Amino acid sequence: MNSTVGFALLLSALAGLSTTLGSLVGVFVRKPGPRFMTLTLGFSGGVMILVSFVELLQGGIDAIGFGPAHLAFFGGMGAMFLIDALIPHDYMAEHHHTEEEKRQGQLLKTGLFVALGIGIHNFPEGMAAFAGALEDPALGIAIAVAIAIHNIPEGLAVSAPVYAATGSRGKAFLWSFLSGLAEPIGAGLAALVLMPFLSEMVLGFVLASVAGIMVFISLDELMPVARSFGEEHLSIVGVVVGMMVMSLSLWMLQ
Amino acid sequence: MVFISLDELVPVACSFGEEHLSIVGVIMGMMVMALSLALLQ
Repeated sequence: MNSTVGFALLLSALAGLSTTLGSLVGVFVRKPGPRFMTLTLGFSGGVMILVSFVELLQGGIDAIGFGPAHLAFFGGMGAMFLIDALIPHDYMAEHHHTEEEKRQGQLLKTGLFVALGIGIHNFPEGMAAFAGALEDPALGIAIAVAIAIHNIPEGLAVSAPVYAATGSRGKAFLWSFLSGLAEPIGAGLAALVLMPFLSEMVLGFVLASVAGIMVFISLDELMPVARSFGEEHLSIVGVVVGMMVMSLSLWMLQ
Repeated sequence: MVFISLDELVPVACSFGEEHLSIVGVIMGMMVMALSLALLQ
């Protein structure tokens, strides 16, 4: 029994840390220019919009029904709107900074929210991989591989805005690493504490509100910032490619 | 419809200079649609 639990934890850790692989893609591109930033920010917007509507919101609807799931969805959006209103966008601009620095402050906040969103989203995934591996090791491996593949674009989604804001490969790497870490932590908590409390209903509410949070971030932050680099039509290319990659990886998860 | 929304509608809405109003519009649109889909069920 103990070795099975260990194996399940290891699997979900590997799946979660593949988020970091995605950030490596961003980190190894030298001197990212405005075109690269527009593409990758658009890409992360596309990833988040598709996964929110297709997987998270639908998962919420399956678990708790159409109405409650949508209440949670708009609750998540409303919460983000409040945070946005309470934390002024240009808090970095108080001391007469340039337009560029203002944008970087905004981008950093975006990156942290994306990391948080992906982290929250990785949490139940870790539980899924863990539960699958406990039931049947082969099933656990299949789930972990699929999750690992779809975590790669998510890691890129986290690291792109952080890198754009800070210009630091290390910070971009660290944040995507942290959001990937949520996966084994989710598995560990599932194993230790939450198993009796975490009902299907709670999970449904969490999934649907995370969907609202991610859609809001994409439309209010990622896409406008992607366009602000001046390559407007590249940003929609990034969005569409992000959606494609995400739907492909969700397809493999099925 | 997603392409038109993301490539045309939302950016043009933002371009009027009231960026936060455009996201309010987007959220209201989603709410109305969710409500009407719920009623249809």
